[in-house]
Amino acid sequence: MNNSEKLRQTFASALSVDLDKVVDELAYNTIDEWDSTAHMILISELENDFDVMLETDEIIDLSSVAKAKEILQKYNVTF
Amino acid sequence: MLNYDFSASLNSLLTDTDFIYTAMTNGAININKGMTKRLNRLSGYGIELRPIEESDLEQLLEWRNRHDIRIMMKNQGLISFDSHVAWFKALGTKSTQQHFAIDYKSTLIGSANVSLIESTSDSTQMQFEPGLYIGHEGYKGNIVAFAPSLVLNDYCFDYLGAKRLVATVLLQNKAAIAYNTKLGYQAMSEQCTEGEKEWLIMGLQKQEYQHATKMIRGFLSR
Repeated sequence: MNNSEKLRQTFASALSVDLDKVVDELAYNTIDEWDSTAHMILISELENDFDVMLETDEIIDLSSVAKAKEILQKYNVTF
Repeated sequence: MLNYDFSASLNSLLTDTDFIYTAMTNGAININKGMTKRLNRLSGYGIELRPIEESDLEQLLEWRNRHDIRIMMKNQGLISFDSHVAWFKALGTKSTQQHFAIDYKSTLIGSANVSLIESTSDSTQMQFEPGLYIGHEGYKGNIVAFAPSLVLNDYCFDYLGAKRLVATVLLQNKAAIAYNTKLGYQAMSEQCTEGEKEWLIMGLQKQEYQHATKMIRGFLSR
């Protein structure tokens, strides 16, 4: 599984949504499932799955799948 | 939870807080004696609450008058710039209210306030009502909207000595109700109808607040 697939799996699991819903444009608060509680779960799972520790600013800025990729790339995760 | 827009007023503004609260409690409100101590700048969870400056007024008024924000407020009418300036000039005289500009990464993103709504001579029953809105489009529907509430609630409980926080929310404002619930607020029994509007009063005590926000405070204070 490459990192893009892994990321989609993490989002699908954390937000409890179907995998096909996880596209780059999927954004915080645009679906019922991605609310503040799910956001916290998502951050925890991203940190576990990609072995990173995000900064507060990054937790705030991680507002879409595309943004998650951008932030994880700073931690040398390639997509 | 329903989709919601954090640019909406999350609690309320203070223009007629006392009227609403008194109405809902059938007049059983004590006379405010004012906030005996206050801090002008608060920071934490990645944001800063600072005194409103004259240079903020135009932007704040534009946001405050935006339809999606003002329809969630107690005073839903449009405010003129002259009235806004008069309000700003009178801020220093308000002994029971504090108003802040919210900055994130040195950029103005909204406004917050806190009002003392009930106090007793021995300060054992002090209740405050916080309120805020996020107007900046870039932070609409963003997790950062929790940060000013966390800063403000910490301030009320830990510095001002609040025994309870109260939020008066438009009953149809499901976003604000959900938001307040995530902060630990619980619905109180009082509701009132003012004209055609129905309001829900929610209350929050320190222990409930700390329990409900443990995770989010951890994430926003790294």
